[in-house]
Amino acid sequence: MRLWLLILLCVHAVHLTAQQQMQNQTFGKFENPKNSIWEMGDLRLSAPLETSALLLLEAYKKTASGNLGNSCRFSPECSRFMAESIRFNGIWTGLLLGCDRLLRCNHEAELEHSEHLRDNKTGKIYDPAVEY
Amino acid sequence: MILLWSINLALLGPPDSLNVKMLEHLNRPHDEYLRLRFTEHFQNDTSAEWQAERAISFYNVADYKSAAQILETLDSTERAINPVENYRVASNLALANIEVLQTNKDYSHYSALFTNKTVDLSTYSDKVQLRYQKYASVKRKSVLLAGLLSTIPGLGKVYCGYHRQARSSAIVQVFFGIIATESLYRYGLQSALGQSALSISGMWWLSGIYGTMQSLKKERRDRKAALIKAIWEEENRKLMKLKRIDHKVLSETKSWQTDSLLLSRLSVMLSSTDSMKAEAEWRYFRYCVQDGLNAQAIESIKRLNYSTLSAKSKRELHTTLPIFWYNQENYTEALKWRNDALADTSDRLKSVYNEIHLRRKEYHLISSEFKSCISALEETAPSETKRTNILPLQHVFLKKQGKAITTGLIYLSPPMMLGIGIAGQMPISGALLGLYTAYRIYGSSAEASNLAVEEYEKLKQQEILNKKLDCLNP
Repeated sequence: MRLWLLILLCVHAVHLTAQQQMQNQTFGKFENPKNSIWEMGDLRLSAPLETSALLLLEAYKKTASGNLGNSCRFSPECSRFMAESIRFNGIWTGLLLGCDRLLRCNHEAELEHSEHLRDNKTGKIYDPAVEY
Repeated sequence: MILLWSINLALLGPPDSLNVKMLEHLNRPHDEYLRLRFTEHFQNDTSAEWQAERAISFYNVADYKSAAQILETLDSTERAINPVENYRVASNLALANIEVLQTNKDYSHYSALFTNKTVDLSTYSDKVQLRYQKYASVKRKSVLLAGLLSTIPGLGKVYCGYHRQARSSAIVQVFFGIIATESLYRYGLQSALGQSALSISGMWWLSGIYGTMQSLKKERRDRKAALIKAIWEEENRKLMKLKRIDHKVLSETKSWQTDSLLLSRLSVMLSSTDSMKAEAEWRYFRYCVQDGLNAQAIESIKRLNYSTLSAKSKRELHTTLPIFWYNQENYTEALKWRNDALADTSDRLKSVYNEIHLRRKEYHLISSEFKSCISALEETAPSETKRTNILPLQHVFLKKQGKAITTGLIYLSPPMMLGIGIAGQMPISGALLGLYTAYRIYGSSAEASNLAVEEYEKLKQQEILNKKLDCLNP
């Protein structure tokens, strides 16, 4: 009986993980872009570093980025790209990818992305985190 | 155990496979089999149009072999069809060719492009050659080597072919490298400042390495996808040609904008029962409205026998048609459909019709007292706003004091960086950080100012519109 219970719980856990993964996959590809980390889903309290990084990014978006206008050359913009990549790849890989995006986000580097897709609404280079 | 299962079911819902099976059962193409039996009675009719319909029927019941055989015989007659006069045949052929060509194709002679190191490109078309050359330029490059070279700032990106990115990223990495070196030289590794400067510059350095590797991988994936697309188009050139005929024919007859429109028109023609025809016609009408083909939409709605529509489509019709007629400025029809809809509709939709009623009222009022109200409002419209490329000053012009103070403080950060650097006996770091933040902040000032003005003007317009609507309410 105990063994059965254990197996059932394992199956349940695997189901939940698979479902979570599917949600993560569909989030980036098919849904509308999310503007805030609160809209992306629940924050993982089990990963304090990740959560604090996301909160810092949100604070940056609300204060500096919000006041300086939407001047990023990419879509989604760099702060959201970093938030998404932290969500998808974890804190360290996400931070590295986000910093690399910051290195690419300037007028000089933009010219090398001429072959890439452009966002229909904004005309910016379409470069989501899920493609990395 | 049962309790656990029920918890499981409550949390996850029923398994998806059940639903899929149910859907497969419901979507079995009974109609297609019936149509096939019908068309086979007339198989001696050798006209291209009829043969194309036979091919479609075979395709719809997944008998690709028979469909392909018919299409082979059609090749000779294809040229005889005048697509401008008979767009239906052209579109039939396009449809019949679609997946038959895809499913029966042999792509094996392209495998050399993906496996061999040296490829004889002369056997392939120009488009495939061009795409292959682009793919080959990244295919040969090693991700590992790119990562190793990136340990020297910018070199990895040069190896991948991103020269401009290499320049800009090397500048930033070297900037932060100098800052870390200076802070370590002044305060040593034991100090908090030295450690944080080292970790920040390390993060930039590592991100350059990892980002270069990931960018190369992504580039390779993208270019491979583009090559595969070019191969598909090359192999299905006939299909592409037919699609072009569709474009040409239907743009000449001015009745084409999307594939969906074409397909829905075709499904109207091929529908056998009244209800199927009505459903297809309704679909055609919606596509026409979406594409802004109002004349076709009006013709379609005249043809539509809505009594045979399903309940769901009828509900959609009741929501759409009053608005459609209103937009066409045919208020009598709009009112007629609104009353018709109100007769058998739920409370949820009543607000929509009330909105239409309000708009109609607006239309009548425009001719009398409403006109004077609008002209009074237009007089109060704001004059053209002062424009400047300095964002804090722009906010002052727009009378947004809060934003002006915040952005002003942000704009002060580069000289503050320099000041802090000098005060902390790190003048080079201060100057470099000041330069970097100045580039980031001041570089987008003009763009941000324009955005702020646009946003402000949009809000003003909305305010005027709201006031106009207020005038309407008694």
